[in-house]
Amino acid sequence: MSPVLEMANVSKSYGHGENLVHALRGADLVVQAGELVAIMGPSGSGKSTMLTIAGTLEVATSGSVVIDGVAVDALGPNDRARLRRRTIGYVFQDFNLLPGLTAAENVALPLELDGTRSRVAAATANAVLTELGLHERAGRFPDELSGGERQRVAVARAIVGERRLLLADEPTGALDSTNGEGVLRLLRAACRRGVAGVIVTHDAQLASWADRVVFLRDGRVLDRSAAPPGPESLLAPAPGQ
Amino acid sequence: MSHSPGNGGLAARRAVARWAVRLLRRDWRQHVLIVVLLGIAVAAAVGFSCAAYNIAPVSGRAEFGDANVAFHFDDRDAGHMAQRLAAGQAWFGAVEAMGHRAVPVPGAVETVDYRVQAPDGIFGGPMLRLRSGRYPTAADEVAITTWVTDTIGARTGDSLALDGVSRTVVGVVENPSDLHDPFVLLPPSALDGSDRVDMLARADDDRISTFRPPGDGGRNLSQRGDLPESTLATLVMLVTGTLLLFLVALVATASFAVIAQRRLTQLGMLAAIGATEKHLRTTMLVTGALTGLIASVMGALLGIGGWVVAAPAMESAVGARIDPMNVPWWLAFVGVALAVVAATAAAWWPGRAMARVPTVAALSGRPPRSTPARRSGVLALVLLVAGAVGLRIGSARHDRPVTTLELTLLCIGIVAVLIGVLLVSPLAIRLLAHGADRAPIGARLALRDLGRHQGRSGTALAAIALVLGVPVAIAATAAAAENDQGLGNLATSQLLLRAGAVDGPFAPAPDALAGLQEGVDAMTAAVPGIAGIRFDVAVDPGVPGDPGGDRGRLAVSLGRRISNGWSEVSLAYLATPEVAGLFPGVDGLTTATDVRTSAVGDLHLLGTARGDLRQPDSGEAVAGGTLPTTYTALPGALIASDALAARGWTAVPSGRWLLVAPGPWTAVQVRTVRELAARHGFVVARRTDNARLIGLRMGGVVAGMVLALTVLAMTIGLIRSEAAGDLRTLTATGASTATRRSITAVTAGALTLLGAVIGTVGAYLGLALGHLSALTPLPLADLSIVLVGTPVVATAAGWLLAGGEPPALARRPLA
Repeated sequence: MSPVLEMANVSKSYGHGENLVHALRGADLVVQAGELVAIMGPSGSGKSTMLTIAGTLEVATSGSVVIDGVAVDALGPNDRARLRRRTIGYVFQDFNLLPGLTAAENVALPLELDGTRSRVAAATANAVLTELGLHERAGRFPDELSGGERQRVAVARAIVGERRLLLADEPTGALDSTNGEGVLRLLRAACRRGVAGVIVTHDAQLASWADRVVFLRDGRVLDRSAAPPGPESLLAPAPGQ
Repeated sequence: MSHSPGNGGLAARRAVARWAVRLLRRDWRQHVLIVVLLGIAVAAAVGFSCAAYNIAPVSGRAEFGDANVAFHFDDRDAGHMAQRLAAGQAWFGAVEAMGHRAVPVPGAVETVDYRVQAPDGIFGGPMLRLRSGRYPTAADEVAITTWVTDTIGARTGDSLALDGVSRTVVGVVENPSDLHDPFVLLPPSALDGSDRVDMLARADDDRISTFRPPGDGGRNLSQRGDLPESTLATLVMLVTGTLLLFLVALVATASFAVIAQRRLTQLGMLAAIGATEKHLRTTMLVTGALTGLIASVMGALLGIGGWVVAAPAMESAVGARIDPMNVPWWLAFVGVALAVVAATAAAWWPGRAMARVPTVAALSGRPPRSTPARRSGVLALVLLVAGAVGLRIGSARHDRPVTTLELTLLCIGIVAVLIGVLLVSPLAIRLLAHGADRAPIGARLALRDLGRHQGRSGTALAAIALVLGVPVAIAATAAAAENDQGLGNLATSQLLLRAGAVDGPFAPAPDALAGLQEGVDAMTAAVPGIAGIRFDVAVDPGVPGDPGGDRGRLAVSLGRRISNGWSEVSLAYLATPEVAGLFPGVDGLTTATDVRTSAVGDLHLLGTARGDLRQPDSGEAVAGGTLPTTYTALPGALIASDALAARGWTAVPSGRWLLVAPGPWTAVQVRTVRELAARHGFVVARRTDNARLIGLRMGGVVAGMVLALTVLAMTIGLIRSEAAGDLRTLTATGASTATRRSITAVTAGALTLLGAVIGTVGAYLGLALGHLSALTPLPLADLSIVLVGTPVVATAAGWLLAGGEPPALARRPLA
């Protein structure tokens, strides 16, 4: 199994002089295909910074980041954008769906941005939504969906196409427990299909869904451990999986 | 699944364009104001262009029809006239003769022109149109204008005998290019009875300058300016269009900055799923293009519709017939296209700025940090200098009609000065922010926020300066025009009397003067308190009287050299103490030995032994511009008694008097004087009615004020929303409602005041550099509205509409 995400000695700092703030200090992280890793830590520990660097939304001050064999440091803005379209899927706490587009159009958007014809992209998006049980909501706009449905659409957008890396920043933070569990099930299922997943959370119960947990404090990785058997182990596998 | 190697190609552009269209539909309320503002600007540009397109050629057509030169012959010998017309025909290929004879109208102060013109003349078509009845064909027939109908009460079928010959009125005619042109149309066969014959022709300058009519060597001609009216109209439209589109671009940039910031989070979402900067910019460009298209199509329809409705009403104001359907469609199309381009370009900059915001910052809705506009000061200086040079060169000559090159330089100069002044805005904002240190907390915060967000506040300031600067320029020009000597305007306390029989550079014969003096005495006796100032004019004893013998004595006059002859400026009036007293500050002229005049150009004294009007190069040269230009119609040139004596000339009554009342003339007084004037053969001139100019001034100023406040309302919300965190903090720390109100009030007031100052300074700078208008008298009422009224209204509105407690106080973290 080859690593999809390799972060080595990654540091990130903001500001200058007296205002210099170190968000990350020499952090390492490797995530294999099919593996789900949870990043935990207190507020300000650098969890979200690590995720945004892994997602190429920010550039590390130092260190190296390799995604699916591509060194991110050498890429320009447009190449990084292309990497996000093709390889990386991002799930945000507050869904971040574009309100002017329907659920299907939101899911199809990364494909269309990558040059896929709209009809083909729409068909692919509808297939993913059907897989996630949202085919009846495909034509609805985000403000016509419930919170759980919105996050499931966001997951669909993150996994559509041939994504290799799935990043989720507090994906259940805005959901009740039932909907949160449904979303985690989707993420886990995606990882079973070979996608490497990283979840940022400070919820221990949520972290128990992960294969491994990485602890951060003050921008440093303190510990890496395999997660104990979590609630998922108590659940029967979904039919067909 | 196919992937494109680059930015996603057409599919990606279509996807982001679709999203932009959806957003426009969803958030249409946010775009209403910008569509309205853009639409109004485009409507104004198109409407004004239609007006300029139709009005610009009017003055030339009124005098020349389709010709470009008119030779004036005042020899009444029919044989000589026939020879000259034949020579003109042979030289130019085609000519048209028009006869003129000024005939007094009993009971009226004006004379009427007995005109001989062929209805089917080759050049005179735009100067003659039949309103009713038919054209005269027989020697005992005439057609009259409505002025004659209204003044004398003559109707079709009546008999008319103003010149002592009874003729039957067979129709009503008009000069469609000059509706105020009063004339009685005679049949072409009556040409021999004319005092003066105009020979219209169309030829190039070389052909005109080498034409020598038989009989004598003198030539008296009028020539259309070398700048075609269509070119003039195009240049006027170009400058107007540029100004309006510049305003459109400023307003649009400020508006799109608001919209782009509102979309910042969504742009961040788009970037997070792989959109490139180009994709993000495309969304704003599509928004700009669509908004511009909707606004410009609506504006063009509104402008053309407004023109069609307003055109008939403009006929009386312009004094010419206007065809409402004569719309320059190509111009409207170009206006729409340019407005779309301007709106799209205006959306590009905010789109670029937002696309460059780091994705993480965009996702959290943090706007980009404002960067100081360091280069604007240098660029402003360069443009101001270039504009000044253009205006100076373009307006350097006053002794001949302006050329195409000069007018182009003037236009470029105006635009350069305009943009240069507007680029001063960011610097002014920074200065304002620096001056905030000692202000109360509310004002301090407001002024510093303006400085922090100078990108947006600078754009708003530029737009406000522009919309207030244009009406200031209009007001300054209109105020100067009200007192412009060229308009022959008088003070409200003055009436000018001129002997009706005196026309041209002549003084009345002595036997006619006794009757005239009796008339003036009768007027001063009939209206208590008025005084009559007699104007005497210089004559050279060495020059014989009128060659024709019945127009009195040839007087010394001041002529300005034009391309192929002389244009009469004024008679040379004797500077008696009474007359010199009419010019503040030139009392000393009575002891001077020279000639003073308000006119400028290549000036010579004519009507002397040395100065023959008919010779192309003669007469004594006179320096121009030595009298103030702000006074009235007469006199335009003064000669001191010493100068008169030194040249051996004498002074004789000119047949002109100025009646001065203690206060403005009342209607009853004017009627009394007019009755007496008609009885004694005088023509009376009084102050031109300035109602139209005053209306133009006030309309422009009020429109500018409304537009400035609208621009302010659009941008102030953005500026204050960017500092909403400060307001929450301020409220949480116990700031009163008054403090919160003062922030918005000071923001609005400071921006408007600064804009008014920049606009006013820019307007006067442009007018002064280009000699485009006299700068005095100052239109104090209009300037007060702009410089005081508008900032006060803005401040009051800001105070009244702001100050509520931030609704999200409890739910948002303190900044």
